[in-house]
Parts: sequence; structure tokens; C-alpha cells
Amino acid sequence: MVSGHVESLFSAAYDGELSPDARAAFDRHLGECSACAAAFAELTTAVDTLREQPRAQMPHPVRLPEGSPVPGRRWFEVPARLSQGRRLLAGLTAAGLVVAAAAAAVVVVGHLNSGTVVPSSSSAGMSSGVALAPGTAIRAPLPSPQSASLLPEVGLLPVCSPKALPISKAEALEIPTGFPNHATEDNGVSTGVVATQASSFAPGATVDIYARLIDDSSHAVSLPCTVLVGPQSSSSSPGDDFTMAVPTPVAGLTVDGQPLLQVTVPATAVAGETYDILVPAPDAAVILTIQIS
Amino acid sequence: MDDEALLDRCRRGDRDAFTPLVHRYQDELYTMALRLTGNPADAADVVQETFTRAFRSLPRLRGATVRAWLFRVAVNCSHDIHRQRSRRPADPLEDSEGRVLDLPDPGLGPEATVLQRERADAIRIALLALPHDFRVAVVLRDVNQLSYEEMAQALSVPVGTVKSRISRARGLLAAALRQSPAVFPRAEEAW
Repeated sequence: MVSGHVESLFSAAYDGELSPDARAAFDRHLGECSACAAAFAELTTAVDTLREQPRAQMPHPVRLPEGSPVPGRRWFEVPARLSQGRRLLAGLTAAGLVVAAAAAAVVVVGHLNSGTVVPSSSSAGMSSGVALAPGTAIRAPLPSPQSASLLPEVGLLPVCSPKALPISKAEALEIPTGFPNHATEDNGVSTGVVATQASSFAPGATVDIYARLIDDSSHAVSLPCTVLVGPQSSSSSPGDDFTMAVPTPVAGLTVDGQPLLQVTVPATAVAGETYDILVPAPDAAVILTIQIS
Repeated sequence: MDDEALLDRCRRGDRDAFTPLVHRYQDELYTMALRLTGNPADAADVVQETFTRAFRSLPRLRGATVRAWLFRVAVNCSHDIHRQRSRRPADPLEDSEGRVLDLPDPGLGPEATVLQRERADAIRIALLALPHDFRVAVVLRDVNQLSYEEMAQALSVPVGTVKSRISRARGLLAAALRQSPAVFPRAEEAW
């Protein structure tokens, strides 16, 4: 039996979401309570009127940007935040991606897929070739487990979870002075910023990279879990190495004193060659392009 | 070809795969944006901006279906554009160049056409009076008929929050329309 008024059930009843027993009790109550019956009829009429409004038509054609939706890039992906002192070597192989810890702590294997490497959504998706040493600080999973159906299986381990920050979006997007190279991407769902203090990128040089991601609806701010680093052209030969490590914190683009990562430019990089550092957000990515000097 | 197959082609850099997605969703998104902003020019801008952003970002989409993600981008665009622009005279039946969009059914008589127009006005005013989150909830559910799960993806909130927002929004909508004789003729007679 339903006692009292039942306004809280109106919406579920309209949608047909009540169980048969609950619906029967709901209907019995309406039969006995004229106030609820009138209120439910009013809500039904209002919602029906909204639903009956005709669909409008986009008045002019949508203009799409020029070019391809995906520039001709090849990516390989590396964990972004590393536990203190850990260093990773990242190398491209002809078959795909190999990221190996220098101390033999971690090996992560992925593959190049349609020009983009995307991470698996859970540790259960790790492919063969992934091995974790006892006590490793590297952790899975990525923040969007429901994305599994859209992602190819790639054995790749992100090393952090996004972390909400108690700062505003404007604060999170602020680029401190002394960061001549930075990029911001706002796709309407999330906004990302990636920046570096470095102004030149010589082969073998170590570069600090900082990044933040802001969810546009919740304004939650987080660090990315992973970054992608790759040459824009396909001229780079397999075996290019990146050395990753935790750099010195820099105020303004850090979280709890933790910066993002360090990238050591491959010693085999050629002056004039361009590389992209891509920080994937949940629905997008922000790209910082660097040119080897 | 379904959305996921088109998305896969977009990821491979196939520009032509994007056009079917535009055709599939532009009117749905435009209707949503029109109900959210109350302004045809703003709604068209929302759709244009949504697909511009999507073109850049869709190949890297993760974590949602294409449809839910497009709605998410469009909701954010609607909020941004509605917030940025000063209020201007809005007429949901005309676009920025004065062309009629919501054509009345030619089979209706003059009286019914007037009534239809009055209902559209009442709905527009009632929706714009709702708080943003509730307006979005009732539009996605009752205009675009998204499922609870699609709305949870599009809004990045739990399904329980979706249901409570819809429930609250419908109650507010009914209250806002209560005095409209076009929607509740008996209210006019009683008056």
C-alpha cells in the first residue's frame, strides 16, 4: 500500500519504471487521492506537451574544418607520472611499442593502431609481454572503464589516477611565466594544458613537461595518467629512446608538489625534426609540438 | 554503418566518415540546443561549434558512445554560448535570417495553428525559467529521449542523479506551465 502522497514516484511512473507491484499500488493511491491524481495528470500533460513539440531542423549546413580529422602521426604511449626515482626507457619497434624500465621493473607492450596507440581500460586487458616486479608503484586502471568497447586491446599501464584538485579552472589553466612552449585544448568536454620551460630541444637533452586536465562540466582538475610522445613524420627510425623520470616540482603546474614527467629527447633525433607530446584527456587530447634544435 | 564503425574510420583519418555523423545528429542536436538556449541563432552556433570540436577530438574519443559524447559537447557549448551572450529577442520559430523552422502542421486549422504556436511559446518560456541542470535533464530526456544511461554518460553523473534531476525538472516544468491556457485549457475556463 502507498501511504501519504506519491509525487516522488510521478517521474518514474511516467517513464514506466515502476515495478508491477509498485505501479499497482501507485494506481490504487491515485484512485483514492484526488490531489495526487490531479497532480500526476498535470505532470503528464506538461511532459506530453514538451514531447509533442516538433523536431527543428538545422537551418544551414555544418562547415567542417579542412583536412583530415587525424593528422598523419604515429604515437607511442608512456606512463606520465612515475614513482620517485623510477626511470623508463621507451622505444619504438617495428612491430609496435615497447616501454621498459631501466631496472627491469616494468615492461609494457602495446601496438600502433590506425596511427594512434590508445590504452587498455583495465589491468585485465594487459597483453602478453607485460610484467610487473614486486612492489612496483605503477598502477592501473584508466579512469573510463566503460570505454572498453571503443578501445583496442593494448597492454599499457597508466601509473596514476586522475586527482581532483581544489582549485578553479582558471587557476588550473594559468601558464606560469617562464614557460615559452605551451598548448591548451578545449573541446567542450574537457580542457587540457601542457607546458614546458624548455626553449630548445637538443638531442639527448632532458625536458620537463607539465600538464593538467580540467573537466569542463564539473571543473574537476586532474593530472593525466598517460602521455603520448611521437615523431610527426615517419622518418624516425625504430629504436628512438625516451628517458622518463620525475623532474623537480615547479609552482603553478604541479599538484601536491608533484610535476608531470621528464622527457629526454632521443639522442638519435635529428635537428629540424618535430615531435608531438600528447596528453590524452578522457574525451580528447592536448598536443605540444617541439622541434629538435 | 553504425556510429562505432564511422568512429573507427575517423580514427584512421577518413574525413568522409565524419559527414554521416553530422547528418545523423545535426537536427537532434539543433533541437536540443534550441530548447536549451531558446534562440535559433545560438542553437545553430552550438551545433556548428559541437561538430567543429568533434572533428578535432572525435578520433580520440574514449569513455562514451558517440551519441552521448556529442550531446555532452553540445550541452557544454549551449551553456557557454547562452552564458556569454546578452539576452536578445528570441523566437523559436525563426532562425537568424527570419526563416520559419518549426512549421505548423498545414492540416491544422487557423485556431489549432494559433494554439500550437502558443504552446511552443509556453514551453520555451517554461524551459528557460528552469535552472540549467534541470533544463538540460528534461530536454535530454523528453525532447531527445535519451536513456538514463546515455544521459549519465552525457552529463558525467550517476544514473541516480539523472533520475532525480528529471523528476525535479518535470515537476518544475508542470508548475511553470500550470497557468498556460494553451497547455491547460481548463485553467483558462476556470479563470
